[in-house]
Amino acid sequence: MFSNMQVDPRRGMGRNKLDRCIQVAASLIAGGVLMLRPSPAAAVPIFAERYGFSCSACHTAVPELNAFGNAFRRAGYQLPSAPRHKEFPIALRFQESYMKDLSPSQTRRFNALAILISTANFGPKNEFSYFARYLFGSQGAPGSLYYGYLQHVAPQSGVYERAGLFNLPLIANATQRLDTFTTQPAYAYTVGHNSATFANPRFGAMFGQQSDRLDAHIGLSLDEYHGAAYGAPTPPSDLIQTFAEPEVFASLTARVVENLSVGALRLSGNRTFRSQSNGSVFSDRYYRDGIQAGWMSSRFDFVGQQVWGRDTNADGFGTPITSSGGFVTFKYRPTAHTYVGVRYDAVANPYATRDWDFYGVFPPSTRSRFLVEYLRPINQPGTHTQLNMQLLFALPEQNWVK
Amino acid sequence: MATSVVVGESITKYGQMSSSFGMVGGFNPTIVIVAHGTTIQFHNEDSFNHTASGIPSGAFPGGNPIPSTALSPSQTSDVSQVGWSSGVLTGGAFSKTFSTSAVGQYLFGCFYHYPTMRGVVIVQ
Repeated sequence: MFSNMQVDPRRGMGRNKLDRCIQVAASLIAGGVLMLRPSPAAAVPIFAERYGFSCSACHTAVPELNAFGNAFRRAGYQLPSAPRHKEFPIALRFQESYMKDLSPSQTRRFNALAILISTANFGPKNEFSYFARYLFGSQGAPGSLYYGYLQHVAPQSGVYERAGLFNLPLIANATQRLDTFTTQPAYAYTVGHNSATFANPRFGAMFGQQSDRLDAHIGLSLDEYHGAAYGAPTPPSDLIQTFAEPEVFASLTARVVENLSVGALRLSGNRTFRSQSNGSVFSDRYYRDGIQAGWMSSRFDFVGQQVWGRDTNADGFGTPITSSGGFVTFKYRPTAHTYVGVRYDAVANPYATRDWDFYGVFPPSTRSRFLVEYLRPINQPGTHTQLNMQLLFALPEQNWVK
Repeated sequence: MATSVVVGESITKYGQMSSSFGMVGGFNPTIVIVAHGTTIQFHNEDSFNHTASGIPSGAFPGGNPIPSTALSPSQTSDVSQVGWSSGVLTGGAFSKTFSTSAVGQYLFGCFYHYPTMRGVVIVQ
């Protein structure tokens, strides 16, 4: 279903035009609403609508979740003891980004992205839910389904079963609730031809438990997301990459003392690469092992992760390649809805890169955030600093379903 | 000597019930009936933030009536005074002690989780 595909360029252009039109329309509508109706709402207004909450019930600065928002998410987006109100199961998130400093492969300083979110709970006790996130495309890329899964969550225990297209559960958000502009390189680095990263959503099944004390997950993936996600489309490649066997993801994180969690994770799989030009085939068995720790409170977050990787044949010539990636983030919230942070990144795949990422966020309104990020590479000749900004907001406003 | 009552706050533990004031829930007890002069303290039994904040109305409004000033502890410590609030109670925290100086019915709720979390203090 999500295998590598050759896209008909005519269809791709048509879809791009359609997505662009939707983006422009969404931005005009959203901008107008933002200017005219500065009333409270939420990043996923569906949930706010359902329970009559304001955005601050679940979020610090949207889309970052506070402790209650995380508990609500762990419980499968439901509060069994709370009365439900009318809701419309569709919401829209829109983000406009500005990059002052472009890399040689980038051409656009301003990039818009509209994201459609749909979710609903169903079943006898509302313990079943679906969650879908469709990206309308950014930087000229076509739109794509980014998440689309069904799940069952027992709200008291946090035991869940999930199937479809989902993200890998990590100690720090890699994409959808990313607190910066750029994804942690430790979650996004590739090795040779192998594009196995932690940031890419997977297609498969996942089981586990999420509670205040313990996060345990095990997942089997048959494929992964192949769209352009939040950035430009990937350059065309001669190699078609498929899963030779199900990829296994496992992680365990336990709260050892108040506010402090420690854990470990493993990702292992085997991918096959086939050349479209000459038909040659090779496979790469790969492993990613990591440790993680986080000190999280209402004012301060201190999160670190280190991953070590091993690929048996990522270059197609039988050369074993080791890799590593890690980050340490310190974040401070001077108020309940603002934060400033600094992140140190280091990756060796096997080429070493390191950077400092300084960032700050404040909310122009309760359903939006404005982010400024300054990314400074460390001792990397030929690279440059990056200044990025992003305005993000969610629609519709709260209590619009009567 | 005045008696004291501790009211638990939890959106996950304490469900909804109908009352003559409308739906109430999220507190234990949700309808707090006390004798004049009793002191009241609120205890956040969840792992995330709540408040216990007065609602200056005779009936529960549809929209959230609790202002953001309720996120700071109020100067007044009397539930019969307009604007009383515990301020933000982090997970497991206890509020300051509130007095009940006047007989009456006083609506209250959580700033974050109104209308799911709301209750009534009845001072007799």
